[in-house]
Amino acid sequence: MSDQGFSLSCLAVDELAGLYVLDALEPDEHEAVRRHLATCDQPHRDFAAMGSVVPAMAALFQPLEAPSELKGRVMEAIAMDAPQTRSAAEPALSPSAQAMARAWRSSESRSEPSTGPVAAAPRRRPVLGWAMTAAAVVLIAVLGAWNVLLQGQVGDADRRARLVSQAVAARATSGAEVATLTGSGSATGATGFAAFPAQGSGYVLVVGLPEAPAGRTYQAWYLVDGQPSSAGLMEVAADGTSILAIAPHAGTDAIALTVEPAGGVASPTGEPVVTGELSA
Amino acid sequence: MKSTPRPKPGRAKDVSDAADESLLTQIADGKQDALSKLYDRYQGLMYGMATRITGDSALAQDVVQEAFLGIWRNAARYTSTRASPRTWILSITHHRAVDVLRRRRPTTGIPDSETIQPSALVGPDVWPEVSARLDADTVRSALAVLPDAQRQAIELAYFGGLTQQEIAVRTAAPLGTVKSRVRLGLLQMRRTLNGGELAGPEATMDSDAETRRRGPGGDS
Repeated sequence: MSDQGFSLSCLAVDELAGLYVLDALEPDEHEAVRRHLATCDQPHRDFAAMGSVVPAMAALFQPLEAPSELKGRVMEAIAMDAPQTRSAAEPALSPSAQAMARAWRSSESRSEPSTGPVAAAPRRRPVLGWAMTAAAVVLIAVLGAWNVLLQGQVGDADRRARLVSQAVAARATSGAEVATLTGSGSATGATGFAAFPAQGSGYVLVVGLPEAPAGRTYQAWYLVDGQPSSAGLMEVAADGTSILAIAPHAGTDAIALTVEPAGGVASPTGEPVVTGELSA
Repeated sequence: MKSTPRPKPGRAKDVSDAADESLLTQIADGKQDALSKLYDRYQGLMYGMATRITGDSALAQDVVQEAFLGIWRNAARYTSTRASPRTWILSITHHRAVDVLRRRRPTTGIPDSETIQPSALVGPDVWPEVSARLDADTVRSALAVLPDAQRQAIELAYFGGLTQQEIAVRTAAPLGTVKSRVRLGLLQMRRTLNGGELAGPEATMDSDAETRRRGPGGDS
């Protein structure tokens, strides 16, 4: 048994095998099992035994023709997807190809000051301009997250990279309300987005944020008719990226960030340094 | 994954598998037209699954879109699985559908959603099929011969997208009972679908052994 460091024993993991292969575990349990299986040297044969039944059960779903416009949406999402978010193919890529991919990634991220043109982009170009800006922001944010990951700070960086992926996915869902965020004052040059999908968690993602001064923190706010209520504190990673999952909040028409005393405050004491209005 | 299920000698790759594998290889190389072809081949299966689980057309479309994004990003990882393309693709779709369902539940708070694995964005765990592609009637029969409680637990989980907690509440059964119903039901289905053969030590599990291995405190 080599499960030290994991909260689940081999026995506990085996007990969850059936529910795991059916996708019936809570997300945190599912993740704990997945991690255990990835590192445990026990065979855990139950998983293969029960998992082998699941593909057969998929035969019981009735096929249903998807609406014809869905293909366009899918292909558009694929075309807009940043290549860096795709998994590096360890078995398929030769070491030299991987090295090239890494070099390309890091040279891309060195050109990160391209947040400048990004921030300047959205001037009276209603739909397309916005879409391009958002795509560029996403690209840069994902690059940032990947680079931290590559530097080996896996724990926190992994979590952040996941949140970034979720934010990107949330922004891309149909019916999502999105705000393009722009920095000013001490956060001039910062850019990002807030996205609230029709269902589930919303996200605020900002890149190019300067570190908050000592003893201070960034705090995000929902604005409803100009009235702020706290959406949570935002930590800035070493690469200037900040990501926060926030609950949907009825009536929100804008998102703002202020710099507040560490630990946050009940109502903002400073001027907003990053703002954006939501539009469906 | 280090668990190494025995290869199934009877599982011959068919022509469509080979065609799909070729598409996935091209997708891994960033070929969008290969994804377009894969879309045409799988949209019906994926949308059907997503609609049944989410019970909502708009959500089902989101599921299919996110699943294709997952396929697009992870096609390179497909080669490291031992499942058929169909199994891999439908696993991504199922996982995504269940994820979407759970995210929209009012009880899902922020801390939970932060730890949710974006399942479509990593390769799913998949296992080789129990045997060569089975028709729906055979699988339906295998399900039908299970004791009611086992069948219900499996159906609520797989087709209904319920978690074990929700199944426990819905069926007024303790969590430990839900676990063992699902377990015994799946192992029985495996035996049935294998043509009644006892394929390995794990398939010989009887309810006594089940009780022994769960041991004290195994319930939660």
